[in-house]
Amino acid sequence: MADDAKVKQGVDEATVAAARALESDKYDAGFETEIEQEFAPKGLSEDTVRFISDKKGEPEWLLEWRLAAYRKWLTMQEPTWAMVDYPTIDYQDAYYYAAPKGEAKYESLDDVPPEILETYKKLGIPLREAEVLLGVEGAAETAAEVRESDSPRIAVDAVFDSVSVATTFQKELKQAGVIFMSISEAVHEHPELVKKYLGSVVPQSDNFFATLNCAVFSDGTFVYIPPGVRCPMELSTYFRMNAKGTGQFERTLIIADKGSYVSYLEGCTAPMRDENQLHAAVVELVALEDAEIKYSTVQNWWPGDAEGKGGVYNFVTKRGDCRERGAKISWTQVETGSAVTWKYPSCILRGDDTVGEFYSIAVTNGKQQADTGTKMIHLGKNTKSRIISKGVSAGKSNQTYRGLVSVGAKAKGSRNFTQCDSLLIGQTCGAHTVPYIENKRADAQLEHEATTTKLSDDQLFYCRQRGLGEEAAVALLVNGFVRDVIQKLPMEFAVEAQKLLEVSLEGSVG
Amino acid sequence: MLVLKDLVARVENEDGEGKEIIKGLSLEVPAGEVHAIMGPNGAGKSTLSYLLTGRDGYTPISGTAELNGENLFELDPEERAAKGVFLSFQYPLEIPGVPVMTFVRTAMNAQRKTRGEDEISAPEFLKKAREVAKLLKIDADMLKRPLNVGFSGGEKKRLEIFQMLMLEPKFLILDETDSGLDIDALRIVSDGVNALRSDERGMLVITHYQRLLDHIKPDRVHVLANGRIVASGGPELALRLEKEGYDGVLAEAAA
Amino acid sequence: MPDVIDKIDPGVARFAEILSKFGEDPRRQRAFDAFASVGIPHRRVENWRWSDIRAGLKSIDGAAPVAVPADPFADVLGAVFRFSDKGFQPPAKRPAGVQYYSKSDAPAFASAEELPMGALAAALADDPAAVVIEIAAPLAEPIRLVFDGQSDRFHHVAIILREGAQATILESCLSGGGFANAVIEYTLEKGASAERLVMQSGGASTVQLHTAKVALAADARFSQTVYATGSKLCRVETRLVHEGSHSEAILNGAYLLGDGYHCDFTSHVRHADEDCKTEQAVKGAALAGGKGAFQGKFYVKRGAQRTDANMQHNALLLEDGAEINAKPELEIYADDVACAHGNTCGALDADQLFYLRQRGIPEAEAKALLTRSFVADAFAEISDEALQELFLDAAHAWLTEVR
Ligand SMILES: Nc1ncnc2c1ncn2[C@@H]1O[C@H](COP(=O)(O)OP(=O)(O)OP(=O)(O)O)[C@@H](O)[C@H]1O
Ligand SMILES: [Mg+2]
Repeated sequence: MADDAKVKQGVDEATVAAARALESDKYDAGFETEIEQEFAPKGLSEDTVRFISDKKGEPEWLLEWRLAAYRKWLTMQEPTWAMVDYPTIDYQDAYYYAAPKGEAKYESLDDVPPEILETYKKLGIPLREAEVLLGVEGAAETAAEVRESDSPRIAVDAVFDSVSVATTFQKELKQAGVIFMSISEAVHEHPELVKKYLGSVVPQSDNFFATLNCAVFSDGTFVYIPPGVRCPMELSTYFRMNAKGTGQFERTLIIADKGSYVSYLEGCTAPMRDENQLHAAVVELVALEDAEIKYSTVQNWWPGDAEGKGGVYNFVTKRGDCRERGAKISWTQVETGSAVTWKYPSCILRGDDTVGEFYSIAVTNGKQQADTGTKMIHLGKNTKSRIISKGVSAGKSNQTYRGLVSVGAKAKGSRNFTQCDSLLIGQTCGAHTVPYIENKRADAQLEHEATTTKLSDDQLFYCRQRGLGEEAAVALLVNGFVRDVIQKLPMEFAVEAQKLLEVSLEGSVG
Repeated sequence: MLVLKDLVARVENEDGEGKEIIKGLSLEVPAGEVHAIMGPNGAGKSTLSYLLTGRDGYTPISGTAELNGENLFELDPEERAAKGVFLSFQYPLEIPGVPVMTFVRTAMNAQRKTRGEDEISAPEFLKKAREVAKLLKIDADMLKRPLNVGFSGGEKKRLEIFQMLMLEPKFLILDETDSGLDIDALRIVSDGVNALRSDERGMLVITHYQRLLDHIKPDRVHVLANGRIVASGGPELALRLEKEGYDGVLAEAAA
Repeated sequence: MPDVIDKIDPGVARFAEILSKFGEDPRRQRAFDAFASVGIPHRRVENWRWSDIRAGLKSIDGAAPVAVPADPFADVLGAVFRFSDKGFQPPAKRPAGVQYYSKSDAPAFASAEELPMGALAAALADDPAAVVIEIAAPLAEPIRLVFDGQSDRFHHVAIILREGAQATILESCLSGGGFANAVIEYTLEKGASAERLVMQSGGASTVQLHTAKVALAADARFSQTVYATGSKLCRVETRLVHEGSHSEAILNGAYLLGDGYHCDFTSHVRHADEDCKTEQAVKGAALAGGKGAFQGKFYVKRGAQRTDANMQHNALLLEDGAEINAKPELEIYADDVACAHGNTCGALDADQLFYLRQRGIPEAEAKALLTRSFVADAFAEISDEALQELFLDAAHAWLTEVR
């Protein structure tokens, strides 16, 4: 391919949304793709649920599962405890399914409408495997070779509104025994796995948004790593919300079987629009004995303009289950986007000797609101968890860390360390910390530290004395502030995340 | 007095992962003698001191450690202390809320009780504390403050020796007691240690520098490297190490 | 809004009946409505998740009272204002610099919505409806407030320290039985200084709610230390507002809980003006069957620049079967602040324990010593040495007797 070199440049930036500022003209991902789309009838009813299920040609059990969730959802109340404030959502005034017109499933990239390919290219997401491989002497054929080559290689599942449009590296992953495909496909190709694990971490009736997701989820990613396999490359999903007035309800299910390892990345963007868009995803992770899942997110949904108009409501349920002995789940998130965020990636430390981690950077500016944090539920013996949360609030934004560390009566010898720091830039923002610590074990060791500060004038002065401009000094100090977490990101992601932070905070001083 | 035979021991970190640090160590310190232990950083010197005093996470795998014929490993830390084993910590701990005087008195009486002796009377204790403090040039105010909290590095070390002189132990392990001390303090502390030298006492002095051994003259010097005693000699060995570093001695040992 | 209207909470009805005996009284009614809109708090009411009053009251219903615990302040000099189930008993002699009034009409209870259970005490306080104590000068001796009794009781006290006044106020919060619910309003005018020392002790079949509302004008200083051993269900709550600049607050305390005892330290500190300072150190320890909770919140209002606020809660679970929960919270809308909180929960420090044992102190004794010094930190701000000793002795006694 002629333009491969250019795309290769973008590989390191792969799946990370290109860095965007809050001011609309700096949000590079804010463009809209013009493409003919097919929608479900507007509004939400049993018919909508049937329509979605039918579109996807789902088996009967899944339709029943969705309907049960829908009926349950009707009886539930939208949660109000988070420190976020947004106008009442009219759930009947949205589309619950939007797909690029044409084939429901693309056989190959050549069938994908060029407009969509163009969209991902603009965002720097490599959908053609060759693009990714450029620079490597001859594309690696087997999983073994893949492991040896050290070029950053990432397999991508691209979700465009309600459907997965392309999944790369399928063949190669298959050789390693890894299943990586859209969840709609998995329903057909691996029904036994989907049936066994779907809803096993986030139950159907977990919470208002998760239950809604169960009823109307459209697509998402399915990953299964067989016993003993170290996934040969990073897996990633790139979510793009395009259609107007559509909600996005994707569903991700990752299962790491005994002794396996996978690192998974997730990136998100949406066009700039004046009206709000709802994103209510559910992510379920299952780690079996001695397996490890590393899940990284760079979330850069459109946050709305400086006046708080438009933007994505990001109401997401993410939970990992360290189901058996020695399992480990690690969440890393960089949250710079969305108008309102409501998100608590959590770990259930069920097996003995399991480990849960949560590393988070959240940056809010303009009128963004974020209520985010984690839950670490210690159930097994010698379970360990670690929480590092760094929040930066600027502009007129508000940010809350909300977390729970709970040690059950059987969780002998559990440990938690929590460090939770907030930084305020300017006088019109807010930073809040709401940790819950519940302990029933005398041999548990729980430590929680939190600080709220502003950037130190002394440090700023020091930097400026050495010749840094004010914004550069702020960026430098903020980068220092979030360093602990940046280091937890896969390398290619870290560079990008850093850039993203800088751009997000532009215009926050002076 | 202290006899260590073929000691092998492991250190466990918080996560319960073990690592062998002492790898077949033999050593004998007869009563009345002072032995110095020198060795590169990370050789296992502090590990040995914790092993002998019974710190959690320092587990003997094989070999024996006997003090006057008694197996140390069968005793709890406080029982070993009552038998007279005293460790001057490389990094003394801070105990907030417990004044030095309260602490030392509690320790002294606990040891006496274990040995079936009478408690020390308050006036007697005070008198002794005052004398020892004077000897070590420790300010009386310092003894009222919580143990080691906010003390400087040198002050903490001096306080370890204060406790040692108060408790009059039988077998002393000094783990880098000289580090952090200024020149005057080094002399004062050494005088304190020398005051305890007697026919019934044994001492193990862990140090990196000859300067301490100028003051506390050792009978024997051992080099601990990689979990073993690799060379032993008289005081001249320390002088040689000071001049040449460890390379020569280690090479000879390996040969 | 919770649906109190559809299903009348029988607990609420019980108190409504008491209210009805006061006839038409808009102030009482307003305070009562604030309570009724929440109802009797239970586990699913966010601010009461670890203090289920509904269950607590149910469990002591019909239980026989025990003797009122001894008053640790009994031998301390000072005028005694006694509030018991037999009504109010003023001191024999009015101390110099102090005025007091028994109110037969209930005064308004401001911010009732924020303190629904305090509002309930204000709505139902009887005989008298409230006692107002005014302090106009620095006092030579402490003032003592003794709250005790064996049956249900409600008290409302207001303490006003005029500009430049200084006082030590000792509160004994003792209960042998019933539902003891008292609310005390502290108002400190410019430059006033108060030291509030609270000793709480109760039986295993009593519910105690002891709530203070504190308002600090500019340059005022308020130093509080609480020692509690809990009861069937006990909550010591403080809601403090820095209304003027350069005011200072200390909110320290310790709770030690044996089998069957519960105690909840809840505090809310609002920094509404610049340059104010709050220091909070709370220590807790529980044995098997003991349940402790700490809920602390610092709220910094927009513009309250240079706020300096630090919150520490450290808890020890002395045995399995103990339970301690904590929620140290920050809500901050000003940027030039230094706010921090720390929370630890677990067992004694293993290295310290080893150090003590190396010096020959047996394990059990070493543990007791460390626990005592752990708790002692919470009493460090008590200005009078003899009173500090009293707190230390009380904790020591608990550690040697109950343990
Ligand atoms: N708790 C522990 N967990 C893991 N490793 C440990 C632990 N304690 C000691 N070690 C390791 O054991 C080795 C010996 O340590 P030790 O402290 O005994 O050395 P040392 O000879 O006293 O050194 P120095 O001269 O620097 O004081 C080092 O490699 C050290 O890192
Ligand atoms: Mg050492």
